[in-house]
Amino acid sequence: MVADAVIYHPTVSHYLKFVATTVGRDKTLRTVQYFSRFLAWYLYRTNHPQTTIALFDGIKKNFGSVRKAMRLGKFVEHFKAAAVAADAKGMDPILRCCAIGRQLGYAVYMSLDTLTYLDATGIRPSVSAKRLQREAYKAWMTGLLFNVMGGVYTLYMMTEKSRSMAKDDGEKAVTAKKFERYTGMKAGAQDALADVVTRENNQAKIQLTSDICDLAIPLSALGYADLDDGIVGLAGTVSSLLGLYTQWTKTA
Amino acid sequence: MVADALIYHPVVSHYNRFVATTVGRDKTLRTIQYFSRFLAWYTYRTNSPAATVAFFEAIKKNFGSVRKAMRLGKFVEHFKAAAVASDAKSGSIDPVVKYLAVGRQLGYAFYMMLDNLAYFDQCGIKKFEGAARMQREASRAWLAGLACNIAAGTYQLYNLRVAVRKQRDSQDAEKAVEVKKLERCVYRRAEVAEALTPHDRDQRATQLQLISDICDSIVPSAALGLVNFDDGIVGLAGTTSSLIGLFAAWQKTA
Repeated sequence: MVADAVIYHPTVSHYLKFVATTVGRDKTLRTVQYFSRFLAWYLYRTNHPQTTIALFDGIKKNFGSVRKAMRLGKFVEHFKAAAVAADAKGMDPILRCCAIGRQLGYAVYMSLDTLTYLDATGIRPSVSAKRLQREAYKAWMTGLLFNVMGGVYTLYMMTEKSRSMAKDDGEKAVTAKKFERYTGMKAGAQDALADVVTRENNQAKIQLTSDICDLAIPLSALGYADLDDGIVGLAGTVSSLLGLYTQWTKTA
Repeated sequence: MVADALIYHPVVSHYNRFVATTVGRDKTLRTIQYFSRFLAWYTYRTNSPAATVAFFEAIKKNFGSVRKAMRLGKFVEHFKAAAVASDAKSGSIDPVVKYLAVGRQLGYAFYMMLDNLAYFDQCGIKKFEGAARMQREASRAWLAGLACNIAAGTYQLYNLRVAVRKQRDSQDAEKAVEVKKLERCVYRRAEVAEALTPHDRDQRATQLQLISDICDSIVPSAALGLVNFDDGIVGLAGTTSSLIGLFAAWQKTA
């Protein structure tokens, strides 16, 4: 039956696994939230009726507070990841330092964000909430900056490695090319290594793009950069989509 | 270091795995939501200051709408489970249980779907006419699903009891005495772990699910006005079923 073909389709099971994780749901809500932020700005600038703008404004605010509630208690994960990174023996020291900085930044951001939850939802207003929120954004920004540094360093190391690999294998490359021309098959082992390097390279690039886009949000919230809601909305949408894609592939 | 002993404690990894699942977070928020519902009623009835009552009311409303947003798209899971249940081979499963399982999943699926549609009205994003009616139909669907599950649970417990009695009657006298001694031992705490047979585990799991469903059915019944329970009873019933669900989700992510 058509219904069977739909219900038993592997995408349905993949979707169910995806939405069963908190990260999956969070990235989906985040994509919709930031795109609504962009749309609210765009519709306002193009003189659309107030009701339409209010709809997207409402979605943005609502999903924002839903995600804030979903973040309660998430700081534990980041404190633990920071401890694990600090104890990692064989890691490159610069990368280790960046990883610790990133995790601590996120951990402090989440803790302060949890503390301001009751005020942000209007359940129990508090005087220090505004200050705590600013500090939270600063912590988030610090974490992101550490990750950007780590990402740039990783990409630099990878280009160095691929350049040195190409130099070493000068003669091997010539042999491989001859092999390829005569048999039409690619030399196996060399390709596998190249695949892994490309995949790692892509992951690092995706992470770096995501972090740079994410930076726009605290920078504009703290007033360090004068970015309007449209740019922040689009940047947030891009980073959310990247995170969504990563999580989708993880729950395959 | 003390910090290391804390951070590397297995409970921390267990907790991280638990909150990484949607079910885990949902059951935690649900427990707090329904307990706040009870506390709001209790503080109101015991003449506490209005600010305290308002505090618990606000938590209840807020966590309720957060969980509603977290439910968006969950109906897919229940439609799929209904299809899987209806495709189960007739020989391998009791037909009564099979149809009650399908009924339960369909009830939940319609509840979630209607609930998702009513979401945008309830949180004030976009009001529309049929929302209140939709919410009522959603509660009815939920109640129908729960009723199917209560019927299935009662039926399964009855069958388990019949099976035990049949086993006891079919054995000879000496074995029957042994079995009686074992049954008596099962209810003594110290020997529970060793004496739990698969039968006992099934019975316990079914009993727990039945209690959870009966407590859950109080919520839509009160919402539809079928029974005249006040917020205190509804709150406590909801808290009980949430704790049972939380415990089950905690075990699953061990």
